[in-house]
Amino acid sequence: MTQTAIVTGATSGIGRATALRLARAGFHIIATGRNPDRGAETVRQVQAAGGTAEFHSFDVTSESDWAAFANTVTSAHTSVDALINSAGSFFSKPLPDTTLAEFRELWTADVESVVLGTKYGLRMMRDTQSAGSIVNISSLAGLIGLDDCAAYCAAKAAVTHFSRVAALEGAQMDPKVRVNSLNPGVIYTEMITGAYGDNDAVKAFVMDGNALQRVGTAEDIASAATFLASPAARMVTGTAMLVDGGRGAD
Amino acid sequence: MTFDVKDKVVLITGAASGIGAATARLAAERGAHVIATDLDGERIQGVAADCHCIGLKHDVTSEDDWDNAITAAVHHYGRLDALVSNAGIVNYEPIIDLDMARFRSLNQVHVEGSFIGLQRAVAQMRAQADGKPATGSIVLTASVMANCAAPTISAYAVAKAAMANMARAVGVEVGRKGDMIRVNAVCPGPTRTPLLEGAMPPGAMNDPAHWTDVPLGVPQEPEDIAESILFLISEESSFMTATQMVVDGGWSLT
Ligand SMILES: NC(=O)c1ccc[n+]([C@@H]2O[C@H](COP(=O)([O-])OP(=O)(O)OC[C@H]3O[C@@H](n4cnc5c(N)ncnc54)[C@H](OP(=O)(O)O)[C@@H]3O)[C@@H](O)[C@H]2O)c1
Ligand SMILES: NC(=O)c1ccc[n+]([C@@H]2O[C@H](COP(=O)([O-])OP(=O)(O)OC[C@H]3O[C@@H](n4cnc5c(N)ncnc54)[C@H](O)[C@@H]3O)[C@@H](O)[C@H]2O)c1
Repeated sequence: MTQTAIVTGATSGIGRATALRLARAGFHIIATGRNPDRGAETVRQVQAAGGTAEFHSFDVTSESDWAAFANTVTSAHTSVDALINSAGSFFSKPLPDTTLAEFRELWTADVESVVLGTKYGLRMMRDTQSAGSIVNISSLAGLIGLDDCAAYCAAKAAVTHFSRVAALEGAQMDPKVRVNSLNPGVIYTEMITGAYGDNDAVKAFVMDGNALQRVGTAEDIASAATFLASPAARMVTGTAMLVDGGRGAD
Repeated sequence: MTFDVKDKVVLITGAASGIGAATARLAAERGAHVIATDLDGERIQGVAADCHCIGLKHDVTSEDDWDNAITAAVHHYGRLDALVSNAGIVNYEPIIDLDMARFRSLNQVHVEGSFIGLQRAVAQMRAQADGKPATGSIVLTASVMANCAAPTISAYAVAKAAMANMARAVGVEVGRKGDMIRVNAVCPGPTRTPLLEGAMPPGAMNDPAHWTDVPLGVPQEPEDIAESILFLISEESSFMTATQMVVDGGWSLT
């Protein structure tokens, strides 16, 4: 029977690459995001790679959107085997200049989105009796500090630790659901180019911060997400899997 | 779904039993060229015969044995792509009873053994690189005990913490040097192998009741650790270095 994977933030960067990698592993892809044109492009790329995919447009910060989406998914599919919560956003600003409204907006986009995604993911897996795997895309910033990123670091620390506790709850379900956070270092996607620019100086800066001295790609994270979603990680739950080229180690 | 290790030349220590044997078997099944080594020169030949791979007697505390093992890999396959430093022993004793000889032997096998292996493997990976950036993946089998605690496990916990941070320190060093050699630690929780069996009352390891303190509630098998090790060897983890990968069914969460 075909396995099903939901990927949020699948209209861009890490989410799109993960949708493609999971499709190569044989999963039917349920891609989500807000931008329907970019969603259609993800579906096209999955199909071009020989996979199957559908796209659902909704806002991951809205509980009513998640509830409706979960209903649609469980009516149409007999299992939900993986959920990758990749939707999120980022800004960098010194703390004295950061407004509470900006902090709250990021908290909603990065933390509440993942809390809702995990809640409805557990429900969808329960309702379809699936021994699923939930992967929450956190960040190296959730484990160490980054200059001028207090709001983002706090949000990603929350996602990392929330995922540990969700893992305990998932382990009490029948069948059991695994929950992990996946913590990327700096990955060259629109999130980085949007904030810092897309040029050789940014690339050089990114490379130099990594012990391996190469640019991290969305595909690097897609591979790790696929590992966590797969039976190879049958006993991996409640961990924070770091994929950062050694950036956080020195 | 598996992560490709085909044609990789992989040296695995402590491969006569448990996690090392499972890693050798899965790697060989998936097309890797395996050099399986162990202190127990007899049992390692049994594993080698099962896996159709090379088996060698190899005490990881001996520098000469390490040189032999790496030479064997290069002799048979021309290079070394991955090292799994996995040989291990365990000791359960209250700190006041622990004598220095036993403390030292734990550190010799895990810390010195891994250290010599890292030196030799990095040297070989650089030597074979032919002027290009050296590549390779080194995985140290540490333990959740690198970051957790339980009574009577102090010497083992010291050795495993040293291994985990050795992966981090050496990972940073070889990366910064311009190489693409990666070094990571795997941190298993309790796993159904002879090493764990020795620590428990007879029969307990195979009794499901014993596994209820693991959130996932089922025994962790050596293959579960082997899968993570093989992911770390595969190119799909090529952006991972200096990390610790925990595989414990949630054991260390509470
Ligand atoms: N790039 C990095 O260096 C890096 C490092 C560590 C962690 N991360 C994390 O990785 C995740 C993915 O980042 P990325 O680099 O792939 O960024 P990206 O290319 O900017 O993609 C972000 C995705 O999130 C979706 N999204 C944002 N807000 C949404 C909302 N309210 N509702 C629905 N979808 C929403 C966007 O889709 P629509 O525009 O279609 O809504 C887009 O697909 C994020 O959680 C990020 O924090 C990234
Ligand atoms: N089983 C667990 O619960 C568990 C948990 C965490 C970590 N680990 C670690 O995993 C590794 C493998 O353990 P296992 O559970 O498979 O144990 P095991 O006892 O089944 O296998 C260990 C192997 O290492 C070999 N060995 C011991 N000393 C050696 C030496 N000086 N040179 C070469 N080989 C030597 C032994 O002969 C044996 O074949 C060890 O490092 C162990 O500490 C095990």
